[in-house]
Amino acid sequence: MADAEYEVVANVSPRSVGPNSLFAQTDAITAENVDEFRSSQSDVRDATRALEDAGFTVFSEASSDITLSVGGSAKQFKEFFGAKLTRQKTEVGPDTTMSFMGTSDDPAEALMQAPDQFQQLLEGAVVARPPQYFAPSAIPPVAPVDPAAYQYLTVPDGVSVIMRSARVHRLGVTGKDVVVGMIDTGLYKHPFYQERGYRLLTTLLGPGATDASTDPNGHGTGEAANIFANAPDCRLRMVKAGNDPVGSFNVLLNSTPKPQVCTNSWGYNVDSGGPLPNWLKPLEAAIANAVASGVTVCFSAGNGHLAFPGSHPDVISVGGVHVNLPDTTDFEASSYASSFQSGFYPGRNCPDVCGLTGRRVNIGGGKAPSLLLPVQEGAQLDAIAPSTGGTNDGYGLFSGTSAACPQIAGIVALMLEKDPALTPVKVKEKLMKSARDVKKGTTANGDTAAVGPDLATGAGLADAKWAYLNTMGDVATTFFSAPKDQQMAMVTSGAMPEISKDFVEDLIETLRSR
Amino acid sequence: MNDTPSITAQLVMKRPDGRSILDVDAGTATTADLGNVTDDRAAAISSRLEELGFEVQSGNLNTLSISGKDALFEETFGISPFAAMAVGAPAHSTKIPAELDDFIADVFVTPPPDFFP
Repeated sequence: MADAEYEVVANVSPRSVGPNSLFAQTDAITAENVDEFRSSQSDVRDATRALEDAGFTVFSEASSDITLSVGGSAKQFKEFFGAKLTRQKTEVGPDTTMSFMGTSDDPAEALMQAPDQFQQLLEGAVVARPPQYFAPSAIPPVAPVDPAAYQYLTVPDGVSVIMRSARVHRLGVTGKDVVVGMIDTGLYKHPFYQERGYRLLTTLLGPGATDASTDPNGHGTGEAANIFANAPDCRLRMVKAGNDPVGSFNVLLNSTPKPQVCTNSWGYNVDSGGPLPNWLKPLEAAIANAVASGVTVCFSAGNGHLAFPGSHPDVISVGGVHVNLPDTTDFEASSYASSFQSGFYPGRNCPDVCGLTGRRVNIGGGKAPSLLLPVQEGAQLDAIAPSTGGTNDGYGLFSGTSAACPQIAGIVALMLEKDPALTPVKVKEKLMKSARDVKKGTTANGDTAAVGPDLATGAGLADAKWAYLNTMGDVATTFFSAPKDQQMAMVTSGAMPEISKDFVEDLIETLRSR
Repeated sequence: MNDTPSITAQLVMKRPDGRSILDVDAGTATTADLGNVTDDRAAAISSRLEELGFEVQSGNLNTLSISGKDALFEETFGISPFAAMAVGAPAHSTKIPAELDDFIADVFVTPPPDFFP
């Protein structure tokens, strides 16, 4: 088969049975008339022999009785066909170019003519050009809802509406310039991100990781979309993890600009009791250092796992709540998400607060298909059940606490945009204080939600709007206790926005809906 | 074959008083600095590790990410990262070179974490 050792690959047409030659045909070639362009067996055999005698390789498995696929050097093509070949570049995928030897687009030069003695046998030849591989669409497919599943949400819209960040966005607060860090399997340059203008800082490599431009798993590329659903104007710094999560954590914390919030949808299923093992002490210390330096750190609590660092006392431990669409206010503790009392840290309950996840359904071994997320086409999660209609379409349906955690990080970015002085402790306190209570449903670990804070969902489902208003309350307190020049500075910088009629109406409506 | 890939491990540094993060009961933001070494000490330890043939990739004042060939880890710290990775279990050093004993508390190889899709 043709490969890089052949400088030029071309399609050669032996004499067609007619009446027209393949290259002289101006009307469409369809199933109805394609037989006119076939060649007799003897002509195919003679053409193959003539080309091989001239030093070309005829790829029989890539040939038909219409065209022969032929490889050779540029020099051979020049001598035999009189071709004028130049080195050219073409885009074959997003930000990926390939160079090849080709003719010009001028029809007279693009059609290479055989030498006189073969003019009757060979109608001509055209150089094969590398095709463009179609990138996945920026718009997700309309995936069929599996009969065993439930209506799914898309990002950014579904998440931003139900978590009420869309309401905050309308007030002009979008996480602008807040740096969100994420340690995951990488971030593929998916059109989903590019076409929405999301701001992606250069992906860094954790120790042991390679190739920052790919994400063959799909997890990082997919889950990152949850951040932008709630904070569309934040800046995302991805660290592609290798075999050393502590090293990845340090790479992120040492990066410039330093992240203000860090989201982690991973962990170890180890928090079943006893003291923290020594091999996890470096990770424990790295997280403590991050929080001590002012970075708000979020970790998934797990999908039925007893996950550390999701149980680390300093982190925001993120669990899962499922929304029973079409009712956008019917919430239940997710049967796919974790809830547990830490064995490592007595008195530590997980989760603190929840994001949106699916609930477990009996598809593909028990999945939670409630979010349609972008992935690198052909990635492992492109093929996760249930199908989105194709295993190479660049989208997958998955929504464990891996999705919930970056949603929370997005809400934190909204809070930090208005009050960058918020400490990680204050952020967690405000998120929990403003969450919507979830009163039913049972988690993967068997804990049932009830009125008020509980082990199943912690404080409940995070509410971006109420968290923002809560943050603004603090800003207002700061404003009224500040000297006049500082008050003026807060007003002119937008830190203390004018309280408009719309805002007050919205506030009343939000109060009534809680 | 000598072209085996490098692998990364976590090295825990010791303070001059012999303490490290391994001696801290619960490593949280309020106790985060109890195992910290000074910048100078971290730099000196990094330098010594590089002399031994390790690459210091990232770190903080508690731990360093060091990478090197499996044989180098075996020879220096009595630990085989590849063997540990193969069984997916954590492992730690069985020896610390005498001249580094005052500076290094332990070396760990950790299994990859789970992601929660």
